[in-house]
Amino acid sequence: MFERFTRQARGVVTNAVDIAGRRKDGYVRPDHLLLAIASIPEESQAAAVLKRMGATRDALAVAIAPETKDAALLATLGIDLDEVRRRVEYSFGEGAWARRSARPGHIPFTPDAKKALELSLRHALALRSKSIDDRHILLGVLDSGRDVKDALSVLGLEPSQVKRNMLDAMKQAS
Amino acid sequence: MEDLAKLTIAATDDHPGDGLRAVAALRRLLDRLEDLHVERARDRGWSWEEIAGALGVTKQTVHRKHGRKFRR
Repeated sequence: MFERFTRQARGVVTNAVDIAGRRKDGYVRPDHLLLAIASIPEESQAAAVLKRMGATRDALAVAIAPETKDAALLATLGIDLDEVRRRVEYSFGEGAWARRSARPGHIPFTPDAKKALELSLRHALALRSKSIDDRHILLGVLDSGRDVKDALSVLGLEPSQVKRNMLDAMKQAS
Repeated sequence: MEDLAKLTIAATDDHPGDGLRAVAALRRLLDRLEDLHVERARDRGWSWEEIAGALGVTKQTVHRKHGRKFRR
């Protein structure tokens, strides 16, 4: 499948892996792909659409902070993550919480992240494009489910709005 | 406190997605704590057998999960 990806699209995928690795999130999720699209350094129509809507690299980096999300989820079980962190730092020393020993080896994609890439292929085919580029990945990512929906909702956005703007921008460009 | 009670009900309520995501977060927390404790035990000279015994898992399991980090 990857042979159809443009150079830039491949860059998005590898950057998403790097982002997940740096953040020590354990898995590559669709929201990492979204952040990677927003972080494309060169000219990118997909990144431009996100930026216009306020979904910049910096905004998304904060929106997908897993700590915040996990703290809320653990609270539903009666666990106070801040308290756990305090105890860990007390027992293991300051900085122990952040210094999580990274598991070596490759970082797996979540099923939704795989789905996002498959959907990007489907979008490219539907739009009669021979290659899969940054815009098709964005469309695939937007259809991939909960993670991206959650990240965008922090910024007050809906996946469907972004999708509409992306499709409009593609129509105007062609 | 009332909020927490409401959230707890939500977690055990009829939305499987919410409950599952909470369990996934718990697993991430568990992995993190396990990493820290295994690392400390190894630094203090515990054998894989002793660590596995304390964790209540087999030696193979603990070695598969943590062994690579300590190959020096």
